[in-house]
Amino acid sequence: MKINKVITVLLLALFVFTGCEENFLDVTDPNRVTEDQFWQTEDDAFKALTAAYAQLTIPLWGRWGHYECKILVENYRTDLGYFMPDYDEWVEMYSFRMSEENYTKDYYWYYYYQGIYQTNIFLENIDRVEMDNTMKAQMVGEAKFLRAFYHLKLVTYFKNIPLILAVPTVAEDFYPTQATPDAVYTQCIQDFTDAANALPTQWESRYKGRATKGAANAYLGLTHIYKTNPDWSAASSAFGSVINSGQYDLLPEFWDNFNGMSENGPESVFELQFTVNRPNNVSESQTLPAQFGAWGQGGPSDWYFDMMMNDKKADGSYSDRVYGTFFFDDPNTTAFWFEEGDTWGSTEGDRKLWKKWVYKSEVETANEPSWDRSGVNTVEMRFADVLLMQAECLNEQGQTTQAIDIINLVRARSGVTPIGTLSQSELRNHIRNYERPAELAFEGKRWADLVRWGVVEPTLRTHNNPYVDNFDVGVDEYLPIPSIDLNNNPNLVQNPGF
Amino acid sequence: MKKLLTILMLVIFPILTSAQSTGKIAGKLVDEEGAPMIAANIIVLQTSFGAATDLDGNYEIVLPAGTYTVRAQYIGYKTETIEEVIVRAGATTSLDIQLNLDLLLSEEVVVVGYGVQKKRELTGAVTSVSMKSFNKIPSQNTLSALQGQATGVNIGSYDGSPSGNASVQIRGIGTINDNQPLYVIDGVPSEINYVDPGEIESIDILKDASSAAIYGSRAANGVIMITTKRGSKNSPLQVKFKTYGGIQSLAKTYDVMNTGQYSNYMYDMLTAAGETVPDWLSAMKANPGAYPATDWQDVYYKDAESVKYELSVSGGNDWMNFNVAGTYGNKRGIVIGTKQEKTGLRINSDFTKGKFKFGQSLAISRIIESPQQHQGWEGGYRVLTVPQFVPVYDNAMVGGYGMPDPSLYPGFPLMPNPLAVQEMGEEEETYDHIMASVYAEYEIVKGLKYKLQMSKNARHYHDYYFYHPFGVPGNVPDNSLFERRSRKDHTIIENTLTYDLSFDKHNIVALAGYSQEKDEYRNISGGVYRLPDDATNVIDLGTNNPYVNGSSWEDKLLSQFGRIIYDYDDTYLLTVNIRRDGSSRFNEDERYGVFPSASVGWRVSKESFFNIPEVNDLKLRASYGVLGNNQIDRYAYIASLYVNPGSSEFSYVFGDDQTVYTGAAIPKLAADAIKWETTKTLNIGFDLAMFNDMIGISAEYYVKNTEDMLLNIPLPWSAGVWEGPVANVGEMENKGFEFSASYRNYKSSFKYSFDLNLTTYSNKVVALSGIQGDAYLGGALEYGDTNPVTKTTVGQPIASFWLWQTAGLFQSDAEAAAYGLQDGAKGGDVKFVDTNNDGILNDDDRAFMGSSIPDMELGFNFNASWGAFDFNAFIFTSIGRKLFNGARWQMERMSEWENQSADVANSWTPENPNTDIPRAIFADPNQNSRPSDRFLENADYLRLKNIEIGYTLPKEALNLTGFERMRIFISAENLLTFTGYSGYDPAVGGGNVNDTFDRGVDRALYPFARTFLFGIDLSL
Repeated sequence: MKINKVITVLLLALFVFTGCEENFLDVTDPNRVTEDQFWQTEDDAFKALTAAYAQLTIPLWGRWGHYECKILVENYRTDLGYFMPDYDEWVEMYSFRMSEENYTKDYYWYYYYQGIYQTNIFLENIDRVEMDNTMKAQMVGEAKFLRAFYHLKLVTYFKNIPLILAVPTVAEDFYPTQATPDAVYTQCIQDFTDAANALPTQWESRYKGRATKGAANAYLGLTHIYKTNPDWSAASSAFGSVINSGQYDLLPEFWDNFNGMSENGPESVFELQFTVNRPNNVSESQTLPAQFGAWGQGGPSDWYFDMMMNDKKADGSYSDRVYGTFFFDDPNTTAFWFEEGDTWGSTEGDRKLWKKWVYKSEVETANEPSWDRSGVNTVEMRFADVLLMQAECLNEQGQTTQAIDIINLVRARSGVTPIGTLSQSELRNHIRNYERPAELAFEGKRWADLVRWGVVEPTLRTHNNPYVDNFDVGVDEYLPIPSIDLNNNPNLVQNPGF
Repeated sequence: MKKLLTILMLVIFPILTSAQSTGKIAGKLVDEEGAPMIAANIIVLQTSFGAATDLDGNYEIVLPAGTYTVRAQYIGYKTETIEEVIVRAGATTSLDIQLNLDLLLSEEVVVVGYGVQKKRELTGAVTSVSMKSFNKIPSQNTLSALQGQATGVNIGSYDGSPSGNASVQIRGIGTINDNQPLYVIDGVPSEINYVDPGEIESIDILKDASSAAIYGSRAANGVIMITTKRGSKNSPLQVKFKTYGGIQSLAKTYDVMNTGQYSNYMYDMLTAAGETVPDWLSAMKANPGAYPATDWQDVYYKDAESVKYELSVSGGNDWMNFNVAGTYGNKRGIVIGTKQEKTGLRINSDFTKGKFKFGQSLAISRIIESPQQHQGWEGGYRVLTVPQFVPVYDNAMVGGYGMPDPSLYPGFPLMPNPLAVQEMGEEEETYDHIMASVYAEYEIVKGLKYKLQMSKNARHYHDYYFYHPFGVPGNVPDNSLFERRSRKDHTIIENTLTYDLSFDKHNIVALAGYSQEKDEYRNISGGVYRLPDDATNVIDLGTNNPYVNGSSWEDKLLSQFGRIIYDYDDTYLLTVNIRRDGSSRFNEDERYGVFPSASVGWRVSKESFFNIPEVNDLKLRASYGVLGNNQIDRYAYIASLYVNPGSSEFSYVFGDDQTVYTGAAIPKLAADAIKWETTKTLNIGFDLAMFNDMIGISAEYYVKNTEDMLLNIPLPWSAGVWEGPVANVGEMENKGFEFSASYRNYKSSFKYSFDLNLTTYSNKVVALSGIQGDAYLGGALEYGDTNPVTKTTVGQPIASFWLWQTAGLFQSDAEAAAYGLQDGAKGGDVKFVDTNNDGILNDDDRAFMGSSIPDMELGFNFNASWGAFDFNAFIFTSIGRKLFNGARWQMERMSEWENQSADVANSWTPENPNTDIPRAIFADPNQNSRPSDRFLENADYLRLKNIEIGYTLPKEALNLTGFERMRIFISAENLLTFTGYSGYDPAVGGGNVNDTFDRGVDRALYPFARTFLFGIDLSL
């Protein structure tokens, strides 16, 4: 009897105490916006697009990714330069001892795929947003441009990559197979073409840096010449529409492309945006001044330096692009850290260092950037490059004379004496082993050029790259797929030889 | 003094002394060692008379003349009952009593969560820590004092820093998620860091499902119940003071190359690789004596002092008891500039009036820590790998610290000065913590009690970090100041009903309860660059790039629970538990989890057929139950976008004015279908006491299976997201055997005791379904997650070493070429084994080579006393444990410009073939340094963790001082270590609390110091 009473009391107590506070366990994440609240306004759409753009700068560890991933992957392995032994991964890169795991190329892959993912999110959700249709179409164009840009970069350096055109939802989506390079190029051509049709020729001042019709056409042309069987005529027509758009011109001063004095200027077709005006310490600056020249990370190879010593004006002096490309022991070489009376020889001896972007521009002086970061933009696609690629297309189509005229335009800007008559093959050789390196050294073009021409090994050997013996033909043209992807995606196959 | 005490006694025990019809019982209570027992209870049965003993163990009871039964009792001792005590009017009956320590199956009670239980009636697996041994470990850190003291509890120290980073695993690693136990301090789930070991009365560890199930969803990793001192009723005022101080030093150093060896080695490296030898290196090789010879270990590791003070006042009368304790400890670390300073005040009291009982606990503490900077990356590693020719100081450099000056050593990498890394990163972290708790209890009818308890833990954290630039002029970043403040509040309200009922031989204790818990966290941090040079310390003074960030979260838990403990005649025992928890970390459909358990016990020795006189108690027991774990990311089930302007990953610059725009992204995928992770545990065991409790033995065996383990599915990076969704896909199994034994001999004047505990378990991952590649990699050797050395996969223990297998060195180019699997390998290169015999060497050839989980851990305590001297030694040994020696890997990798171990001077050459150090060649073309068994070492060790000798001064010597008791002691920590491990310390690398897979890698981690201490114990 007594026990029954007790049990009743206990049960009753449990009931009494449990009934209250129905919603006690409901919480919301105060740090985020839920998906239902988003995708309402044009501002939301622009925010989503901004996140896709942001991956262009490889925002690894705040401000180091641009150098440690992009610059390394695109520039460290060529015949044009030497580099100081620093981190093992960097040494691996320039000495063709690539391991499966190397953060420089791994994060290059990671951030560009993050960019692809953000563009797909944008493309799949943009129709939920109520906004002006013209602007919506332009933004869709930007997203497609970026999606193609990232894929093109990845297929250029990794060759056998997954082609991602949708946001993963079910488990299988996370484990894609590799597409053929041709399938990737075809999709890039499609996306760049769509983008070119949708994008404006110029953006208003406050939106400079967003992709334009000219940028889409330039990369459309680039895709045509990068793909397995180049389509010179299609490329030529794409480049032609850039050249004939009336939107672009060569800057009078070669050096102004690299010193922040002419950001998003007439020679800029597509440009990566950086600033040191960082609200709330958001890292949008890059690291070139310190890493590149000032810390002595690298400079021209002997072959390249000797070659450039012939890049002269009519009066026999060195051309503007010699002084704009590297520091060397010459009375006319100046560096921003020079004090009164300093010369390169008196402070740095016979060292030769890269100069492009190593500059503290007057624009930045007001904010006194420190040595380890810079707000100077990096031009990803220069009009001079478009002209030289057009020259190459014309030459390949037999229009050698017209090609020479275009090349001389580019030379004239730096005061270099024009070239005379050459045969098609002579001009091809000139473009490959003189003109493109002279104009575009360290701008992320050389490796891709050597690979598409199929001449990596002989060129490295002829130009005395000290690590050429480590270079395996048919292997080292491309980078190994990151092991994190191989480990987590059973459908991937490592590139041959790794 | 005596007089004062007498007066105090009179105040505390106002006892009538003059009535003619009364007499007295008086006497002294002593323990087995003959020492007076203070505050023991003397009860006169069937009366309301009683007393507690004073500081000398004396008691006195005035009561009417008659014949009585007197009972003396004290926690942890066997109760003595003396019958037929005759008291005559006006006379004093003398009654001295000796109590014997009760070892295992005694009246001793164990704190089991929402109550206490008699130890002899326990049916679950609970370990009570022997406070006698625990108190001998001089520490300001409860966890480090606990290591090796309890069977089934692995306290894996991550390192030996003053803050004592340790990860605690009860019965193995139950999950790849948070596997730290729940700490319940005075009944309130709380943080362990804020309790000083000196404040602790008892520690009980709930290990199996039966004992822990009352804490349901948070109990899967076990529960550590800590009770702090509260004083006891009817006890005299007691003041205790303890202080000690000492010196710590690095016990072992690595032998690194001097400048002569280094320049020869680098010369060989560069020459072998066909690289240009810089002029400065040739000059150095020619005349190494002309360069600084910096012993970086000597610069970085310094002897460090520590002090500790503990003061407590306690007492009680018939309606209240209290304890006030203050502690202060300052432990400096052997890494220069590191410290932990801890100050605490704790006030506990209880009050009784009629059917009501009230009480409170209040603890205030402050911890100030200066940590090691860049531990294991630019910290410990650099100490070993910056060459000796780099000077410690150099006025030409920014900050005044030496650097490899590029004008003197062009081409040499700018390795940061490790002393500068430590000293120029000026950091102080302050934790202020208040724990306040009150309760009220009401006895509704006899045996039925209602209790309401409300508690609040509030923590305020402040981090101050001033970075002073150092390095080569013109190449240093700005100085900067960063500060972070955060607040964490934990609130809990608990209602419990308990009913105590006995009839015939049935005894029942029933419990029902309801609780609500809320955790709230909020932080704000900010910083600025470029402050005035003269070391200012406020953010306002900075001029560049100011920034501010903040975030918050909350967590809620709603629970109902119940328990019935039943026994029949103290012989057949049964406990049934159930708890239902609702957690805000899951979506509405999966929010609630129910966690039941049951256990049974049989005290065989109570049966009439049991007739083994040597065995005075034997109990068999078994339990089974289900526990949960909700330790996953908050809000993991909510799909949301990151729109934080502070997130640089998603912002970008547009416009001629170069404005930064904030982006919005979905870097994590929502996991809306996740549910509770559950752990099922089966436990069987026995407790045995022999020869009148002289020998005590307990043993247990358990099987613990974790199911629906919540895993963050790792995705290929091509998915474009930071991390995959969380899912219930893993299974883990732990099995173990635990054994403890004790022996006491107090029969002669040399009294001694042994306590031994043994822990062994095996861990195995049973399933990781849903994870492509079926594995997690971990234990990165270097910054940026490259070179993982552990892999967690099905069939292997968690974080198993996954390494290349080597087979010595190629003795000639021809041998290397003939092997054929290593392109370009030459004589002197390491030969790697094609373990799967597929004719190619790749990651598939990496093999599992054990783990850092020890096969067995054994703690051995020896206590002895002889006259005024006492002695304690604590030996700890860990067997079957491996460590990847990352420090040695750094010092033998022979790849770049880093300084190397002196052993590397003995590298392979055709003339020096009998060595295991490969040939010296720059950039390591054969990747001899890949993570291989070359760097995996056996880390078994046996360590004299603590040894203490004390001397208690004779009473006469104290007559003039006013002190009752004074004991002086000297002790040494980590005095002797026997190990084959070549690193600083085999005890590090026991697991990172924040990263389950990061265990077993010694990145020159902060070593444990050897410490010598001197101290005094005083009481009055």
